Amino acid sequence: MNTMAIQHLQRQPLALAGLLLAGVLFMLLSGRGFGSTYNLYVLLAGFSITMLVALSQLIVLAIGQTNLATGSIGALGAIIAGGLMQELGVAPFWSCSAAVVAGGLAGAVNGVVVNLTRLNSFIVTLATFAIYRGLVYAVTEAQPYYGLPEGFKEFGIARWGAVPVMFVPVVLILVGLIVFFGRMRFGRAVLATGANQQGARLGLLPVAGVVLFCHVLSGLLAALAGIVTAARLQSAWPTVGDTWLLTSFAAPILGGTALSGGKVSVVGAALGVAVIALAENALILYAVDPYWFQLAIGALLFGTVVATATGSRGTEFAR
Amino acid sequence: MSAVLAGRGLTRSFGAFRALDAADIELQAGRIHALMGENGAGKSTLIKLLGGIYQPDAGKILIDGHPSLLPSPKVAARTGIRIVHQERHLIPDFSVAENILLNEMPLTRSGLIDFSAANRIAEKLLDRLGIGIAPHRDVATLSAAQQQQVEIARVLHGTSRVVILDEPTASLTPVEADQLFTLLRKLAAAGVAILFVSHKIDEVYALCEMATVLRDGRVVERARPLSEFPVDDLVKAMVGRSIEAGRRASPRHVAGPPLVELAGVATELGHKGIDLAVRPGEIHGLYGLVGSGRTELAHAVLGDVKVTAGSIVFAERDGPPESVTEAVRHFRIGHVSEDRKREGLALDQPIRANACAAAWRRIASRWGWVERQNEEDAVAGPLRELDLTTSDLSLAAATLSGGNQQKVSVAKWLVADPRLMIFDEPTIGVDVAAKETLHRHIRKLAEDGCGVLLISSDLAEVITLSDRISIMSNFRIVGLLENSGDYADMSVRAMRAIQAATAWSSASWSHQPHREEHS
Repeated sequence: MNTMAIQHLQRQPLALAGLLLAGVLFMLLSGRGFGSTYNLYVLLAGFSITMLVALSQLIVLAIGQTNLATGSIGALGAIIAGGLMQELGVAPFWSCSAAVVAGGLAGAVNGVVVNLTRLNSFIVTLATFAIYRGLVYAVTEAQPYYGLPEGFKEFGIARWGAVPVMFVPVVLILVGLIVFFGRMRFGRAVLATGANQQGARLGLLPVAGVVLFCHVLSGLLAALAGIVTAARLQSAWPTVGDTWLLTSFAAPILGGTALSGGKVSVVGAALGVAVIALAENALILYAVDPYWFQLAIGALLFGTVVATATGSRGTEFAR
Repeated sequence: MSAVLAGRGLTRSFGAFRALDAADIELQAGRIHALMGENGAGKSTLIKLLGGIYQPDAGKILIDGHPSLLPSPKVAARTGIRIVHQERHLIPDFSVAENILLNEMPLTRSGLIDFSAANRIAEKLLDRLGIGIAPHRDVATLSAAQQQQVEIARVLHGTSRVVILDEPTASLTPVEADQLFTLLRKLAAAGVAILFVSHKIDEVYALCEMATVLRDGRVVERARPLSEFPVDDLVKAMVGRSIEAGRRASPRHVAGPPLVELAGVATELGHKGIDLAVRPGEIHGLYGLVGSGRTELAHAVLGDVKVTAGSIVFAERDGPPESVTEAVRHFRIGHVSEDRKREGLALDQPIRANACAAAWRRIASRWGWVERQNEEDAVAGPLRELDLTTSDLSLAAATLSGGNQQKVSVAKWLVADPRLMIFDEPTIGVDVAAKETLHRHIRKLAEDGCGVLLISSDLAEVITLSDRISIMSNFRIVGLLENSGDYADMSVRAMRAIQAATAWSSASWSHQPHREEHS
């Protein structure tokens, strides 16, 4: 079981890294302007947002749960930040902080309900997915906030050459999570809870606290992704996050994170996001209709998952 | 001497069911105390009350003679009461050291986990306990016995005054069990009070000083010294009636052409040169240590593992079956898995449906409709024969005790009328009375002409039931013994065959099967 799991964990990111490298080389040689500073900036900006979305899902996957409400919490974050700035004139920093806190609270609701009712997180977050999204539409009457302050809008487009400013916090969060899962007590408690919840409980780990923490962090990251999306679009739309669900699962799973919990690969998820971002970028450069994007990412996920599953046949008797 | 830990009048009900009724128990420092009883007698409930996992409805817990509350496992652990549970509760991808220390992993000055310090602490503890496992290894790479040693090391990290072990030898070989006993004696000598929960009577006599026996939630024998507690009395106390303990086997010599014959079989999992034949009406024992490839061989016969060389021939058919479906449907092979929870039963489904599952095609109407009444008619007989004690066949299988679940697994195949039955550890974790019933039915199957392949790690069971015994070691058959029925003689011969094979294979290590690839 374990050898397979280890191979699985190592093989998948390696395969992804190879795929990424091949894709980048192909695109560089394609002569469609892939290597231009502006295109790389677009690529990295897209990567930044999708990365936050993927991490928001990964942190609950780590305990073997799901958060179907990431997109809705993202919209909540975008709308709260946008509304505070436009309607109430609150400074961008405080607006965004309030929006992130709201995302954390939205996640906390998921976590508390899961802890109290022992319901499957799928059901709980399916409900809050509709509730949060509905709240956003009801409050905004489906109208976006356009009149955002210049400082906020500047954050969405500022860059140093090919590197968007928003890339920096995302990389810091990535590194933080790698350390969290690898070297911090609480991060290890998260993995232990995901691998064997009863074992973690009998090992005297704070299981309920771990579950709550993961849902809160998932909410925080989703709201942050929503805010960054608003900054990038220069306006806060209630539709933010509509299409996140697929990528939020696809990137971690491509990267070797297990749906069953206890096994995560932050690096793998980053590679997964990079491959998805690259695929989208390639489709844009080849002027493919954006309506094909979902099909492409779906096929990528499908292909990888099927390939991995067939690769690990004949291990039923593993001890 | 006052008890380190004592329970007085402990009572606990689940709904209308009183699992434990005014139970008393006392554990003394440095003593190994056995807690015995059949499945469903209340042992688990009592352990969980002592470990702070459940709260008693009535009665009290005394620690060093003082009434104490154990509201959670955490509080119990802080008091020094630790449980080694029957199920493994380790984190497979974590190292041995991290599993032992878990919430007490040492930190570096920057607040990050210090894995090398953890390894040093764990190594010191493992050394002290005489457990030879490298602390940096991933737990998933360890054998069942080693994993259990890690669990024990885990509860002994910190101050442990009372250690409770729930059926600790269920997945251990006799040699591994002996190692465990050495470790437990060492702990007792260091002043730890030990409560040893087991079904296995010989183990209890070998290890423990005294026994408390539970039956139907009540204490029927309280801390009785085993030196003045004859086996017959102990069994009587457990089951409430006497059972022919240690009945002598009566192996038969079954002649005739084989029902299934394996010749020179090699498999994708590493079996080599397997010769084995089961005749109709024969009980063929397949004995070997856990991990020697017995279960995997059974799966090859079932068509679930690829055969890479040699042949498996069934009477009148060339084999093996292409699939498990074919094995059941056309070859009429029945299989009672060692892992009844995962492979044998649908725990959420009614008992009736579980017992019927292998025969649905036979009892279904032309359109595939299965009448409830037909199901009940088909299963009522076999279940009655197996003394399955339940009133309502529409209850979920999960509501049954382990022994009764196993009876349902067996009944399933009695309904299906198999020609070859494979039993894989049929009585593991099953109480004495249920074991007796299951044995009776395995014999009856054979007498009715069914071929039986009996896989078991319980040598006594193999010798009691089998007509012939194949010995397996390291994915090879290393001996075929005609059963004389004499336990002393047969056990020596079986062990000798395994030892000879092990000596041989460690001398020529290059011939060892590459099981790692599949693990």
